Amino acid sequence: MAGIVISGLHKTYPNGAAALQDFHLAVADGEFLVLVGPSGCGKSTVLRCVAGLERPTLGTISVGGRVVNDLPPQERDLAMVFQTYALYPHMTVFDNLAFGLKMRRRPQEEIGKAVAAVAEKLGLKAHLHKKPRELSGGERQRVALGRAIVRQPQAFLMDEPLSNLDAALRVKMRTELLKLQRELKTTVLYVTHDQTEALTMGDRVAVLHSGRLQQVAPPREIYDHPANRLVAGFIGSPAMNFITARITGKGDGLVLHLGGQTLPLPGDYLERRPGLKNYQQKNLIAGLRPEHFLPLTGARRGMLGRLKIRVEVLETLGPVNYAHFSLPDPLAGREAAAWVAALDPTVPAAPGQDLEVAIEPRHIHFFDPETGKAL
Amino acid sequence: MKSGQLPFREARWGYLLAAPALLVIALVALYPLGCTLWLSFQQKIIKLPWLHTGWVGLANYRELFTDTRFWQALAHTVMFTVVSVGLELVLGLLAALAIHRARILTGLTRAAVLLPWAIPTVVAAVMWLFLVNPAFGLIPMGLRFLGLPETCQVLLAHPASAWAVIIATDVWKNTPFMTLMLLAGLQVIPVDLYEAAALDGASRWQACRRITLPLLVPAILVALIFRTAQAFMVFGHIYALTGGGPGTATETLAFLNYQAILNDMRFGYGSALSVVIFLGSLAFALFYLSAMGLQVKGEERS
Ligand SMILES: Nc1ncnc2c1ncn2[C@@H]1O[C@H](COP(=O)(O)OP(=O)(O)OP(=O)(O)O)[C@@H](O)[C@H]1O
Ligand SMILES: [Mg+2]
Repeated sequence: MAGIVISGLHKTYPNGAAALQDFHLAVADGEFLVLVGPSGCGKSTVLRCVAGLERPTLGTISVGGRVVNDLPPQERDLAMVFQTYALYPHMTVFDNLAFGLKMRRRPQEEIGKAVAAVAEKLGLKAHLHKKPRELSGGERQRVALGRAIVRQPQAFLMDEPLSNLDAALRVKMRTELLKLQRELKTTVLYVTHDQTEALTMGDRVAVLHSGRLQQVAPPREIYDHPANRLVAGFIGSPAMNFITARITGKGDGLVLHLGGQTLPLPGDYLERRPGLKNYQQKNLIAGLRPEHFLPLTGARRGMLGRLKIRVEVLETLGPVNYAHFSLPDPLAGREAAAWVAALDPTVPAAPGQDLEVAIEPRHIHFFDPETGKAL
Repeated sequence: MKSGQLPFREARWGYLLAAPALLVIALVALYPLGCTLWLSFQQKIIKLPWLHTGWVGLANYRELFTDTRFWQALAHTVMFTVVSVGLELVLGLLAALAIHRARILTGLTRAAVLLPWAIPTVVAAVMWLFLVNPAFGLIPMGLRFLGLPETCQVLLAHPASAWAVIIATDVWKNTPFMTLMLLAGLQVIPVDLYEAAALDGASRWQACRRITLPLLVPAILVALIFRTAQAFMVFGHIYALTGGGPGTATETLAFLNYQAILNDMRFGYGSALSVVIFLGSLAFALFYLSAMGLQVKGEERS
């Protein structure tokens, strides 16, 4: 077992595509780190560089304190779970699991024992004599996982291993995978484009966008304090709502202009959010998560922020209703911003209906309109 | 019973659709085959018209199976088929692996690789005839340079070297076909299998033996079917290079057949030989098909 340290990684493919730029990441020994980002942002490239399947253009990669840049994949002692599973189609499940040990010339007896143990753990005992084609998607996924763990490598690299499974199985495998990792305590660098997976599985989450690392932090912090607008927009479902806003006034007259409406802010707001000090009277981007719209019930009547909205589309999901509406965005000079509010089903709402919802000012995120940095 | 009727109706519809093709096959394959079979029980020697012409039963077959020339030709044919197809398989496999690895099969190299295969057999043979010509051929010149005696330089005059030239011609001409067939097989093996194998610690050689070769078996079988059937019928090289000589040292079944019918004008005897050749290649084809069938079934099971 070992940690992985990636520093100053650049990768430019021969066709000129710059897939990664100045990428730094340290995965601690025994940590489950999830690398998340939209499709094409370079996640697989990171994994493939660590695995030795691609050569970094610049930068160093070390595993367990040893620089592995010049080692071929065979000698890095890492295991990878591929998105396509990459099971050997002509071999039985047993042979698939045993392949890595056979290549390392372990004694027959040891191989038999190790494979049996892994098959037991992953519930593959009944399938050992079958070929991959005879297995269901979930079973194949477990074989791919088993092939990785049977060798007890220094670390696991997983490239969207759950993305080919149906929704129910994905949720089930998520917990099984976590349980397994807690048990084995092996370092995992896990790639996904699914932010739910990232938040639920990672000890820490690294958000990648267009080949650049945006933020590395525990899931809660990524969610509560996104470092910039890209992270804020990517993490969370439905995505955070954005609009151009402006803070004016002073003391008790401090207000936030947004969507053609004004929300009063507490007098000490700027003291508590020092980042906003220099942005008075200037445009900035305000962000609000859909779940931070509160019903305007009696107790909250006296609360500060209130937004008038007209529901356009209402999605009823059971535990929650998603109300889609648009807010005019005059400060940005555009027609309107499409917003979503997650409303408690007890709030009476219907398409075309005018509603008033409450907003707690502390829930509002602010970003620099140029750099996108959180303020 | 509706559900039972539907497949029947579908089956009838299927036969109906296949009927024209079956009819054509019957006309161009089964009818001549029938004629040949019928002829093989006749005595019909056009050169000697005064001899009895007509039904002689199994006499032609009896003569054939007691003729040492037939057994010799059979041995030659089998030897030629095994050696040249074997060489083509090995060379084709090596070439395909090299081309696949280096990814050099672009327009020009593809044309260069395919060129020998696109040349008609007789033309290829005549090219080799020039190459081995004792007076000005490149190969005897090379042998002379190496200081070999004059007699060794007349390559087609000795059975062993004549066979070497025939086999070289065939290998030269048909290896590209083998290469392309195997290359197609290589290209459908997913890259991530090799990546998984590399991470599993397999060296290049191990990956080749454990991943590439097993997954290439279907392509190899198909290529072998084509090549074996063709090699078993070898005629053009023999005809153009040696004419079966020296003596009868390079006679193959197809060449013997040609001799019997078109040289000796023995239609009955020649037809008997044709029937035997046909049965031989049918056996080949059935063997390969069953091997493929096993392969396919194995795949389905897996
Ligand atoms: N072999 C390659 N040659 C050239 N460009 C490549 C190659 N592989 C990836 N790229 C490019 O590099 C960028 C990052 O690709 P990568 O596969 O790492 O994305 P990803 O984040 O894994 O995406 P996904 O979630 O869709 O798998 C993409 O723009 C892609 O087009
Ligand atoms: Mg990817």
